[in-house]
Amino acid sequence: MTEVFRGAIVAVPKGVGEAAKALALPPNFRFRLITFPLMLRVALPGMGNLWQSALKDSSLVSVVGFTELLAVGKIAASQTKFYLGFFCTTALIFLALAIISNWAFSLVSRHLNRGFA
Amino acid sequence: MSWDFFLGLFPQLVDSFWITLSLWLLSSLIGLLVATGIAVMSVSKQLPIRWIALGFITTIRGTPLLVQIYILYYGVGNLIAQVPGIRSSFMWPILRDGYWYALLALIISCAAYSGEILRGAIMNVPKGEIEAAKSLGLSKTHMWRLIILPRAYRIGLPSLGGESIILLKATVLASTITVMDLLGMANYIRMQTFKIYEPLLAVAIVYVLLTFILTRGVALLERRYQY
Repeated sequence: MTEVFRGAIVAVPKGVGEAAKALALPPNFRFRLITFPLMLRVALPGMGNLWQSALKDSSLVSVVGFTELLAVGKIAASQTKFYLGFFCTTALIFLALAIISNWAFSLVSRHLNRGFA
Repeated sequence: MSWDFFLGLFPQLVDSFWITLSLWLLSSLIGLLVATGIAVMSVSKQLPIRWIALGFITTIRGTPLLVQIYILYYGVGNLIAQVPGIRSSFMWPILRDGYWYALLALIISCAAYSGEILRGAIMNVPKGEIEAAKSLGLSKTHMWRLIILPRAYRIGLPSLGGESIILLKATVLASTITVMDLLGMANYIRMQTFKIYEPLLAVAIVYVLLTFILTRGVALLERRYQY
């Protein structure tokens, strides 16, 4: 995430930062009003990737014993011997979460890109 | 931390090292072959073929690898075990072993991720080269085999190298379905000797070495095949 933000801050055009300094804005105003919105537009695809990968890595927590979605699915499947059904349902829930996150990220991306070509 | 015990761990990890290495290399190479097919299908002009390829990529990339491994090993494995007479057949030692299910899951996962990378690379092949190939009268097969695919591999080489490193770390998940790979052996040693840090540290060192070798290999290939 740090790498994504660092690349995005570097990608903000220098002229914009210099114009903000020429207007004598204090540093936190400069960051909040000028740099941050422009940086967010560049950083959003990277953040979307990291979000999706964190969503899928959350299933690994089941290996160390914490009962999350996959662990509950495994317990249910081993109780009823209905392995394929429960694991496919778990996969469909993860897929639905991934598709909804992708759609939400594309909405935010369209909003942030609304002045650019 | 006793050094004798730590250095004496490495000979015990040799067999599991071969299992990890074979899982990683086989799934990388076969997955790359399947990924080429998926990528070619995903830029096809016919809509159903494109939908199949894009649907495959979206589904496999949207679900966690651990869930896919469980579906194959517990789900499909259970179905196979219920086939009458399978336990006495000659295929049973293969179908019972978790290694092949983990290999299949890793091949499918590598095919989806590498297919997405190759799809982007194929779309970034310069149009001038394709037009030159068409003006020379090359058939579609020749155009794909001689112009588009080599160029796409060169464009996608850094991303494919990164994907291979991610695949090496994903082979660890095979230890959850009773495959005795490096992490499986480390857990076994941990449970036998009650020493937690030494086995895990040894296994981490082996993974770092493998990643280092792969990164050097990809850098060498990049230098040779710069475009």
